[in-house]
Amino acid sequence: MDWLTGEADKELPSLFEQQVFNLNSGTVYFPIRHHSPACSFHLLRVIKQYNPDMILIEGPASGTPLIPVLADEATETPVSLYCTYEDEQGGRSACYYPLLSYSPEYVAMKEAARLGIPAAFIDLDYSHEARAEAEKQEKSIQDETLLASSDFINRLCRKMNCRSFDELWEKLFEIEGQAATTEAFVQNVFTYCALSRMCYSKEQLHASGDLAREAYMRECIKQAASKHKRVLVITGGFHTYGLLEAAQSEGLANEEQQGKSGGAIQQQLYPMVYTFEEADRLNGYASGMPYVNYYELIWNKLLQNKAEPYNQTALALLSELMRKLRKGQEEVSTSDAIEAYSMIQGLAVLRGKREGGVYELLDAALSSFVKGERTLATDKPLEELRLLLTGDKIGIVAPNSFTVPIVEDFKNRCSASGLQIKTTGKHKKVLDLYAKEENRLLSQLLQCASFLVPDFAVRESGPDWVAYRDMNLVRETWTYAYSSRIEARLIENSLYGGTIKEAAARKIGERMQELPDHHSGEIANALLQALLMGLQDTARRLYEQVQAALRKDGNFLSLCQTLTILNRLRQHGRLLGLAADEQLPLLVAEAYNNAVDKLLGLASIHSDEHPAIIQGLKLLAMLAESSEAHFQNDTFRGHLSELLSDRKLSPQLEGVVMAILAGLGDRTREEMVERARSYVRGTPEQAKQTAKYLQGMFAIARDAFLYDELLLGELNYLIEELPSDDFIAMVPELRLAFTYFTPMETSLIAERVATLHQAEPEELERPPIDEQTLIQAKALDEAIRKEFATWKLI
Amino acid sequence: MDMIKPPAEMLFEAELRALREEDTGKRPPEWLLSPAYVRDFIIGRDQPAILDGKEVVITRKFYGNDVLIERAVVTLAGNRGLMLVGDPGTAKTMLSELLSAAISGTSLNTIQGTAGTTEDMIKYSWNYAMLLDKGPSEAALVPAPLYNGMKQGIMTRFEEITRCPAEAQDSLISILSDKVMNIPELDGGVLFAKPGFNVIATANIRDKGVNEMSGALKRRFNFETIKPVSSMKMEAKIIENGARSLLMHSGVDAEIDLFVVELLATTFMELRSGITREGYKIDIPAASMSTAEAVSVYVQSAMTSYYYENKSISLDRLVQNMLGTIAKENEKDLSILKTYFSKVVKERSKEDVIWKDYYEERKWIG
Repeated sequence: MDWLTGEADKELPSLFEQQVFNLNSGTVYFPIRHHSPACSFHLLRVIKQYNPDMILIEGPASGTPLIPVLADEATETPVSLYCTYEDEQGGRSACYYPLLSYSPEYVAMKEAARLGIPAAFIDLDYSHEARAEAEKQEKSIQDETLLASSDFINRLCRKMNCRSFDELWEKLFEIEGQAATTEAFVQNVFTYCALSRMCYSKEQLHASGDLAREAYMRECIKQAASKHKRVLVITGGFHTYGLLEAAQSEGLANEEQQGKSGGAIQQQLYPMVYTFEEADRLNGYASGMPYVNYYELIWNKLLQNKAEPYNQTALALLSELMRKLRKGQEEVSTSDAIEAYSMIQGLAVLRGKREGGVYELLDAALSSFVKGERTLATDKPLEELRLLLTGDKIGIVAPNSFTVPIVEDFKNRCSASGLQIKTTGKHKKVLDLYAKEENRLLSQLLQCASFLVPDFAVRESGPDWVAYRDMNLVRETWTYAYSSRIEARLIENSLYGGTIKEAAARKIGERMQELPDHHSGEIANALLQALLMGLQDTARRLYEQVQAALRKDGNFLSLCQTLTILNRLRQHGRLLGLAADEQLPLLVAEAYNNAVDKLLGLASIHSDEHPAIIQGLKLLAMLAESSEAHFQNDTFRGHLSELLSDRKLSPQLEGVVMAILAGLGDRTREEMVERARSYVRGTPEQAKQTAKYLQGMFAIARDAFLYDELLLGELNYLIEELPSDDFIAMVPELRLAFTYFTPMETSLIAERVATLHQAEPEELERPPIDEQTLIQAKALDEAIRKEFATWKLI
Repeated sequence: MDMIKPPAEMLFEAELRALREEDTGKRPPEWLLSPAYVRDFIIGRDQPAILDGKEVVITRKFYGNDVLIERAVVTLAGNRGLMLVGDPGTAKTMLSELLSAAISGTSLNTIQGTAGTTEDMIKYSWNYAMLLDKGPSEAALVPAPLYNGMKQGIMTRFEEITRCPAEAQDSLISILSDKVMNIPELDGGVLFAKPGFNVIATANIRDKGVNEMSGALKRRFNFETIKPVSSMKMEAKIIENGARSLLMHSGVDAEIDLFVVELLATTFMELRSGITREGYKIDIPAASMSTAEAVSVYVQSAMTSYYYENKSISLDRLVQNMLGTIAKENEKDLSILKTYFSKVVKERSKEDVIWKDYYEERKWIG
């Protein structure tokens, strides 16, 4: 690789020979890229050649006791170490340490176990700096941002006609690496990583926490070297240079306090199952190489010492792809696959690769399988291929004694309440929600668990308190299924707490904090959800959050939503088994008062919101009438009166407000009717608004119409006076206004209308002219016309 | 000889010769360059080639997806034809010209597809006088591009294949898979394709009045979809280069105004993608806003300014010519351009002098 050595720093080759890869010395450094089959391939050879008595691996030091579990026969990749951290201030974070069958770290652990020599992790458990920078809550320890994004590498990619770092790596190391001697391969990895490291300043490395980690690793290596004769150190290539003695000076100044500042941090490490889907970086997880299944296939071929592993794998995948496409009713022929395979060969030659890798495979599939313009509709073959490249394998963790508190708690509660989680498979449970205490508790557990791990349980039917649907039902039906994947998700929740309840309370608290302050309705919904999960005793803080949100919320509708939910809880809380609570009524009162305060702004709200406003006003009126001490109805009435005098108030809301005030006795019924009359007798434009006013009025006080002669008379007058076109235009609104009446009331009204016109009610239902007469008249009309036409009279 | 637009092999003769001399790589039979050199010819490279002791810079001729070029070259060396599809004005034709110039040394063996293309314009026809006189013979046969390509082992270009009626398109099907053309009129009339023969077709799928390709034909081609360039810088560069060479060939001696080019590139890209660089959504006109259109707007404007005002390009000419491009499909497009000016250009005119001048020319939009 002339292009490397040409630019390389002169010290690197001698450094490599003497300090990195000197098989005669007591310490051999093996630089790797995480999840690289070629690195693993050569690592196996080095272990055989060097025959170490101890293997040190870059990984969180306190995870060392887990190595036997990971290297156990019963463990199957992909698996991952899951680490959670919590500092004194309550800051939390978590990260993964994924292991695939071809990860050099995993290969090293397996080999150490086979040879019966000790293996240990030597990295810092946790670095402050990394956390401060990483906004994301979950990340991979094997983050390679620094390795893959240096200027050096970007330039190199351009020069080598590679589209990305991954392609470059595959071309130079994975594909070329199979044929290189181990020493040459290791030297190339080392030189490459050392050069890319040189693109970063000491400050950048310090800020990313790398220097502190390397200082710690050096210390571990020193200790190991004092006890063992031959130590093999396996770390990311980016760090190897930093571990060498020559480079020690660069980190010395600040290493001391860095390495030992982890005291106040609580941390836990657990082994857990992982999936190919998660391991594939392309799915948004920042670790190692993409296309995990592809490289696993390559690794298997490498282990079997097959010639041309890449071509073999491409062939296998192409035929698999054809099978899948045929199943999906896509039009493919064997000639497509033949074309694709020969294209891989052609591209490999053109791009100067020994064999075509995954990028050639993708290119070939694009050219040969996609027919027509490349659009979403024709992209299916590539999509399928990508799924194949990622794979869907799920790992297994050997039974072990490293129990996770949250999983234990969950299992205990499940066995106490008779949920079957020993067998995987779907189970069903019907719960008598309100009648049986133990059923309610079980429902709460299921609510909790499905909140933490949505895949675990699904409520098939039952009253939905949050959406306020199916409230007439008294039984809940749940289906649930437990698997190792669910367990992995559960372990991830151990970040939030040691028990199911604790974790759920904390998680929902955080979720509420993420909601914008002024959306009190959504926050109240979260509170409701928390109470459904049986978190009343831990929900104190949630009450405070709701209260704070109420104070910041300036939107009438959102306040009404909150009020509805809180009021529902206040009235029906008993059904949910809520203990009597003095705080809830206070919250309801607060919501009520805030909503009342916002009444004056209603005049300027858009008419689309009116139905919701009417519901809100109804609720407020109901509470105001309840004469409970919390709800001061003076302010409510005062505000409504004021609102009524607002000229901009829409007719519909005017009707509502008027009806409420008439109900409360502040205004007379006569005034309500008078206002309707003023619309009817007003200018033609105003008269058209009558229906709107009536809609509002009927929403609250439809009885007014049933017994008020004057109003009926006015409406009659309106219909008589209105020009036909205007009447037709108004009919839909009028119809809507009358939908508030029950059928019995409608017939009552009909009777009264009949009396008004001195007719029998039945007469009203008859059409003015019956159909037969109409048809006859029409026929006659046509006949006369015809006759006239023959006489040329028209 | 003077010509308005010389073919690629003439335009880049020096580059092609220099590369041919340097190239020692393995070549598919009858190819003048190895695949890697074909790629370098099209996407350019840093290192100049040497011809007669002088350095020849290998320029970039196609901007966009370099991986696509690699795939296209490998396809041509294989069994299937290459079908370039994409929106109008995405340089499909130019790419097909460059490929055949680099591979076979000529880009002139071309079927120019139209709605009136018939099978004899693709394969062969007859010199009827000779045919009547002497009966069917090879001498009486008038070869068409496909015949020529097979006989000589060179690339045959098929432009606008979707504009041809389905019967004409389908005459390619068996020839592409068997690489044999039967000539029943001649005794033992079979033409076997010489190595080096392949077909590069270009097709426009979304235009009005195109004929759908049959599945059988699709199967015999590898498709490459060419997307419009997505970077403003690249688009500006293409407009600049395109306008410069066109103006030079029309004898207009005018400097390219880079500010105007940038303005034009920005306008076209934003109207095409429906999103401004500030991230606001705008309406997309129905007319094709391709880079090729932008080049022609620039050239037209520069020429009008040059001949009528005797100065370099002015913004009022630019806007006037832009109208002709945008208001092709329907009236509504004009109001889209108007809104673009009153929203986007106006906003930018507050900070940028050239955008301010641009905004003042909105009066031309009717």
